[in-house]
Amino acid sequence: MAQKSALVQGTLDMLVLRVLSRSELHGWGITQKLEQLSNSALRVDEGSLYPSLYRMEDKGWIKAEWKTTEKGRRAKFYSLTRTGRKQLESEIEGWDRMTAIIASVMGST
Amino acid sequence: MNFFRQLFRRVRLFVRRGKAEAEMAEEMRFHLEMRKEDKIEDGLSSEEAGYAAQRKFGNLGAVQEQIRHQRGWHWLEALWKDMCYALRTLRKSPGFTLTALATLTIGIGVATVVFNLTAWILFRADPYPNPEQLYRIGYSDKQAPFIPVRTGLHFQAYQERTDVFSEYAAVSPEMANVVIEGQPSAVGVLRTSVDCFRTLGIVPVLGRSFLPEEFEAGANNVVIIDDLFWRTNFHADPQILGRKLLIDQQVCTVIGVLKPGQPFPPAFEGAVYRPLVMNPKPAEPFDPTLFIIGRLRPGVGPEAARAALAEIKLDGLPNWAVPYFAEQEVRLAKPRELARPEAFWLMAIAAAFLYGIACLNTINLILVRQLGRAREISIRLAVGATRGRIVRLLAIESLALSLVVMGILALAARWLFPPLFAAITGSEALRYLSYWNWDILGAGGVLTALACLSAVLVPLARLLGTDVGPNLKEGGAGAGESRRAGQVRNVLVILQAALAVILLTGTGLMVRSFVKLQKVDLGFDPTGKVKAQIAFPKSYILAPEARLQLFERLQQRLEQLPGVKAVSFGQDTLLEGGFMGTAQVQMPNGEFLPVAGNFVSADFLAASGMTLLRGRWLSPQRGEVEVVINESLAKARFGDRDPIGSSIKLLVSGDRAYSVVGVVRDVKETVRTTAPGLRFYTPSWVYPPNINTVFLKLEKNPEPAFGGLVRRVIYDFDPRLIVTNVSAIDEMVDRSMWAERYAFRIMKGLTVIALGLVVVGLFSVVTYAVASRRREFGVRMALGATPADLRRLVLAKGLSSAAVGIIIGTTVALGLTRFMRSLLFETDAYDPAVFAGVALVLLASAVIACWLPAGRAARTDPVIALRAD
Repeated sequence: MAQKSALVQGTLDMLVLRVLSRSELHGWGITQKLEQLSNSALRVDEGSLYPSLYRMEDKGWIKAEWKTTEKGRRAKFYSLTRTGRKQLESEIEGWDRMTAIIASVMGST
Repeated sequence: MNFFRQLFRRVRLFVRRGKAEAEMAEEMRFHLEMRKEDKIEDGLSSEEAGYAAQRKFGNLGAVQEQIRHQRGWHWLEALWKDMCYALRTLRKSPGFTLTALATLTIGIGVATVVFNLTAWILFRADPYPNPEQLYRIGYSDKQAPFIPVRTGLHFQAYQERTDVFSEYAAVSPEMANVVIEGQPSAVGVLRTSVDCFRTLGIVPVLGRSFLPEEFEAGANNVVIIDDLFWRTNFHADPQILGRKLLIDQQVCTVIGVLKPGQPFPPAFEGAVYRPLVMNPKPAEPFDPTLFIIGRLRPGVGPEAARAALAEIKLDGLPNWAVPYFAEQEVRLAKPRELARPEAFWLMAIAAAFLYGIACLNTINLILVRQLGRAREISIRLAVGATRGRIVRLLAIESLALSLVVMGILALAARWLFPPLFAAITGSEALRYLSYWNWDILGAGGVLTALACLSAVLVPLARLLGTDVGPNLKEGGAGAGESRRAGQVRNVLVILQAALAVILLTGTGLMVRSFVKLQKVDLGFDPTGKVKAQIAFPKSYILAPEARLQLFERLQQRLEQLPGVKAVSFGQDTLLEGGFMGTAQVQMPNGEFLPVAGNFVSADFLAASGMTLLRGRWLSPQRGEVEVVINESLAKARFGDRDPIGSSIKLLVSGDRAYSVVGVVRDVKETVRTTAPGLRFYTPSWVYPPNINTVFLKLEKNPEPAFGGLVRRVIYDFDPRLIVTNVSAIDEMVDRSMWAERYAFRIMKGLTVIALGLVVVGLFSVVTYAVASRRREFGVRMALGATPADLRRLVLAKGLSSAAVGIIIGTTVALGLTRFMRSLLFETDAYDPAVFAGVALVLLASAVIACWLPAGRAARTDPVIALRAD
């Protein structure tokens, strides 16, 4: 198994928004999706996802709704709001700028 | 905005935190269970899978706590706990709590209502659409700066020949007999112009407005009634529409009812409204006379509008009217002008003082309480509470207090204020005013917040200087309160006393002025005198001689009423200043002086209660033209000579010589008249056209029902006569003092409350001082002081505070009272008796406040006091 990387600080929100931008999901689903998309290479305490979700709900980026899963269980589904979508765009933009800067600094030596 | 939405969301979440917590737990349980199932699929046992899921999740409790913190529950939670704690501690010291609550509630409640009332009276916007565009149109002449009437001719010309006003509301007031269930009553009828209701933005609550075709002659037998008329005469019957009323013997159909407090401008108010049929003719320029309000066209200023109106000259006027109109100048004025606004300012200032006293008192109470808790606070500090935490505790305590105060106020505004204020002011109208509105509650909230803040700031300043050690020691030793703490509270008491002195002085002056007004010598005896004013409908025209005979017959009829001792008639002059003002008297040097006269019947002397000084009254027989003159005229015309038997030349509808048969005492034409005018009285047959009033003298002041009786008798006598008013002269005197009475009553109420607060404040301070000096008193006793010495010591301390307060208050009052001069009647704003009286009252209150604590000091038992620790 490849070595796991810790998450770059402050990027969890962005990742969650990105995952939710495709479809609405519950917390467990988000965890799975993150795992799947990163090929299990990210090391995240699963619990730390929830404060992030609640914070973003407070800010109005995502909204939550109780629904039934395919297996008939009650779960809280999150989906992106309009402000959330804008927020995601600006975070991606910021991220691109940041990685470009880092890449240019790292590549210059 | 976003901030408030978030705050609201958080508070909502907090209030429903039980549900939110359950949901959070359920969500995480779901996550853990899903992970566990996942692990079981990987081949772990159920138990191991559970542990693995938990490991992967991290610390569940920590995550939940982090979420709670994020949601800001921690401080809401802490606030809630502090609030509960504050309420518990407040409940534990009921004496303090009740006093503080009562002080704050009374001070804030009274101030709130008085401020609102004053603001409503002084500053409320006129309740019309775009009130700033509205102007009354009137004129000025030599006698008056603004007379708010114009003729129908003017109105027509304004509408046809200028466009400075976009629309008008014009009304013509008249009195009419309205007969309801056999009882005639004189009712104010306003004939309104076509646009009137629309211009003033008035829509009936029931029925409809007038239609344009109803302003044609013959089609105008429709009537809209106002709310009060509807309630008093028809018990607010919703089926009123379509009902027929007999108004001046015309059958009119009710088509609408107005809302209560319909915004007709002053002088516009009537009880019933009918369409005005406009048909002005230059030959009769005063028919109709109109009160006009115009709405300025946008972009036109009032001065430009006035100039445009001034350009308009009337054509085709009869010769006699031309000079009359020539001397008039058009004037504009705002629709609402308040008579004697100073009475209301005085009330507001008095309420502000009361509020100040209440705040000072609360600060003092909280200070005393804080000192009482000095030990507790020191212990808290010593065991590690931050100062911020203690400040928060104190702040929350006063927040709790003010929330309770607000609650009480809100309840009081709903249930208590209406009857209370109606009782204090004696004005029934206040009973129906609503105090349960955002203005009142908002103002109450602001005042409470201010009081609460001030009540925290002073103790706070003291707290920040608190040193742990000495307080613990001081508390332990009970050596007495610290010098500085005592001084702060002393200053507060002195300020309270000073404010109370100012308030008392204002009230004292009002009392004195009021007493003087009530004792004012009118020059005639008003007791048992009644006058009935009579108007003739426009359709009822009588020749002068017929008018005279009608009144003579009416006099005979009224003389038969039970309890009536004398009846006479003439022009309405008693307390109205309604003398005919155009007469002139020739002086010995040939010049003419303006005088005014009344044309009266033979019994006028007895029926009016005037005093004959010399000679005799007018003889009942027609013959030589006799005149009775008043003192002032006698002095002006004859100097010290006896005028009886002389003759004077008077210009009244032609000039004539009158022989003087008597001199009467000067009569005040209004209660406040200072310089009596030159007056004469001649027989009514000399000039009957202006006779309009019947004077009755009764054995005693009439019962309230007497007015109705007189109306019925006159209606039976001739249903065409309109009795506009039946008034007891005594009541008129009373009514003329309304502003003084109003200010006086409210000031009296406020002052009594303020004095009470000062007594409470002083009492609490002295009581506390005595309690904390117990040990010292014990030592003094042990060393040989007598109980009387200790009593004197405490009394002297209280009285000296009061005395300093009196000196400061009196000095300030001396500077302020001159502003209320216009409200004072024959009373000096620096009246020494009032100032001295106020000082005495305050000293007496101080003695009352100090008496109990002084007695307690005197009863100190040295053994117990020294052993207390």
